[in-house]
Amino acid sequence: MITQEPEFLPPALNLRGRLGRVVLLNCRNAGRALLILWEALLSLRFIFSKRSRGTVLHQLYVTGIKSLGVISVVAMFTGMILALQTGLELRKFGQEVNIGAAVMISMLREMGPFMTALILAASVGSAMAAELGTMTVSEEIAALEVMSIPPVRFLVMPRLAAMMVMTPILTFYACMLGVVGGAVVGLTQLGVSMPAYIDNATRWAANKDLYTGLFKAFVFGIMVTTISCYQGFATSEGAVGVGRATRRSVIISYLAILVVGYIITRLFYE
Amino acid sequence: MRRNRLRELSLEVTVGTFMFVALLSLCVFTIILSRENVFRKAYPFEVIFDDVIGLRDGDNVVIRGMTIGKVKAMVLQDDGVRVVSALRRPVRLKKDYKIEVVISSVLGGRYLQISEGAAGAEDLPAGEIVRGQPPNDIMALVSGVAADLKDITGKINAGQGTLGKLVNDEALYNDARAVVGELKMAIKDRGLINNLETSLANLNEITDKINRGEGTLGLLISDESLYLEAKQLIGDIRATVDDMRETSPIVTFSSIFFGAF
Amino acid sequence: MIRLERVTKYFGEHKVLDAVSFAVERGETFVIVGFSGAGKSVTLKHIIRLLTPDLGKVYVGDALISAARGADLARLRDRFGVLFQGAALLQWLNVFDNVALPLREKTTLSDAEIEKRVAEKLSQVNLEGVYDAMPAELSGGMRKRVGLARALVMNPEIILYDEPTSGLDPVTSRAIDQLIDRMKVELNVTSVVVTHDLFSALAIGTRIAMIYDGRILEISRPGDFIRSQNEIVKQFLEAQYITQRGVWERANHATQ
Repeated sequence: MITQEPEFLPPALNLRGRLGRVVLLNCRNAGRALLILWEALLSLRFIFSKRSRGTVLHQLYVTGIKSLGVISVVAMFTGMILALQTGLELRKFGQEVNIGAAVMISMLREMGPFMTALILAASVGSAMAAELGTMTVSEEIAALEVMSIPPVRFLVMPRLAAMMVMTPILTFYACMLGVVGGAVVGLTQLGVSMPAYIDNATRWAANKDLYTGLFKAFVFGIMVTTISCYQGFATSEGAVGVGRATRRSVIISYLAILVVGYIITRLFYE
Repeated sequence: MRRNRLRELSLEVTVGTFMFVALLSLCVFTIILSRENVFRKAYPFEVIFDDVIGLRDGDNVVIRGMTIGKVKAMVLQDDGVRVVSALRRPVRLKKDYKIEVVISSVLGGRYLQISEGAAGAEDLPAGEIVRGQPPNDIMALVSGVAADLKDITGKINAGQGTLGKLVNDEALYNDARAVVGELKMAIKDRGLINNLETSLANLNEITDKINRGEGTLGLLISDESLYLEAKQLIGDIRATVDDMRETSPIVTFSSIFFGAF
Repeated sequence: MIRLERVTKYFGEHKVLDAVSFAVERGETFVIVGFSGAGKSVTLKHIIRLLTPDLGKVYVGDALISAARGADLARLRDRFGVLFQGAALLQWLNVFDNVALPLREKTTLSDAEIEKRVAEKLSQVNLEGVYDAMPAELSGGMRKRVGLARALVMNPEIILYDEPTSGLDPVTSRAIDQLIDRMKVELNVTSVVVTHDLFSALAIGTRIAMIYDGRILEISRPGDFIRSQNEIVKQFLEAQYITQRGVWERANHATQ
């Protein structure tokens, strides 16, 4: 059951009790979040069914198309900053043509998935937490449960599907725009010609860079959805609770993106 | 409800178009990054190396400075590494062919260089195994030589003004000879660092003079110009060595940068 | 039809329900009244198993809903229609889609059949021609009626109403009361209504239960309820200007 009974814990007696409770509660919350994820993954089989198609489509639109604007700006400037910073350093050695590789590789491996995931966590993820949180406090989730419409299938699955599809695509888009931004800076500030830049960029980057980046984005998408939806469902106490759920979803998503990003990098680049 | 249907349709079109375009460009980009040209016929070319000193899949294959293909795959074998490359045109090797892995920049890019051999030479019989040159790592060579040179110049500096000591000291002289020999080899093979080469030519000249004047040390010592020449030359070499040390931060920087991921 | 046996519920240290027992018969409209925070809504949530009792049992028919799980629970819940306090309509769906939601999610009816059923239910709650309106554009009374239509759309045997008239003006409240009464007469459904609105309780209830501090104080027919000798029930009645004669009038001290 997604609707949880209200929780009342007696005050902890001492430091050890409080510490133990924090650990236990966090483990329990993580477990609940993972169970939601598991159920959502299982309900992915309904993704093309007639009743889900509309919602999935809507979520794809909200996640993908609506985020394009902010991602474009952020990706462009990330690429430009990368090009400018590394370019100025490399110029000291007369190696500014290598900004192509620097921008391309950092975008593909790290900045692309990272930036995209952070933006999605802050925009789409927080919206998920707020939406589901509001639904929880206004008893809409309870209403769904009473109607025997599984909230996870009805609400989480479309969002999960949209994030699983859109995060890698948006990441790719962000990488491309970042590389373009780098090229603009290269051309105007560092005197690196477009063909030289492109040649340098494509010579050093490998498909491994591209696909580990996209894999990372895929994982980030799943994580942000799980965390945000769990926080939404765990909302209590009205508007204040919705605010808290939103804030928590963003903070936890950011931390998870950083930590898991490091772990994945470590896995693929020993 | 009619309005809904219409909105859903335009939504479908938007989302579908976006995903289609994204996936298509992803495919194109994948092909670009795999450095393959799927639309052109490729000629396979195999060569076996003892050591490929860091050649990578996708590196260029070059004949007389012209890129004619890419390295496709490398397989470790008992007798070395088999490098398979795809060329845009067939290559006809002569008996005196030479194939080597060349370092293209201090940053460490590599390419595969093919020299087919002299135009008049005999064709290589079909089916014969093509072998690459053993490695000749210029960076290691140059830095080794540089260290030696520094050593010698240090010694010379210590014996300042007494060139006689330099000449008299048999061991030091032999050192210098050995270093010059090494440097000569390195420079001849690569022609990479021009002013080092000219310095070396000069040094060579002096050592030749020393050689010729063997047994007549008085002549050498009294020859003021030769002394000055030698001194000037040693300065040049030190400058070159310093230059080389200065460029090393690039290597360090890039290895840190690309190692960071 | 619905039976609670000594249902006890703690929220932390606080005992919200203390051995609450009652039975609701088929076709009855059972009204639970009480002060705010007395445990009315909590009782209702136990019936539909949004809460699980710490002690005691809840039966729906012969089935023990307080221990049901998974598909059994879903089957039991399918016998209910619930009108939540805020109507709990999905904000991003229009009126038609909200009412059609259970049909679309749980049945294989064709679009035409769904449209027919939704139109029928919306006309039952006196709402026609507002299919395209979004919940946010509706007034409170309309929202409740849409919520009721959604509760009715699967033709449930039992309807639970959580504060159906709270936040509504008196005229709209009476209209809702009439709707509840009509459901009973026309569809012969069993209803459980939680409210603190005594007018509505007296108008629609076949029996009224008063909950105070987690305990049932009194269960009786409306005529007996207003003549109750229980001090707290009397206080509750008087607070809404209802005297023992059953006529409502301005309290004397207010006019004197």
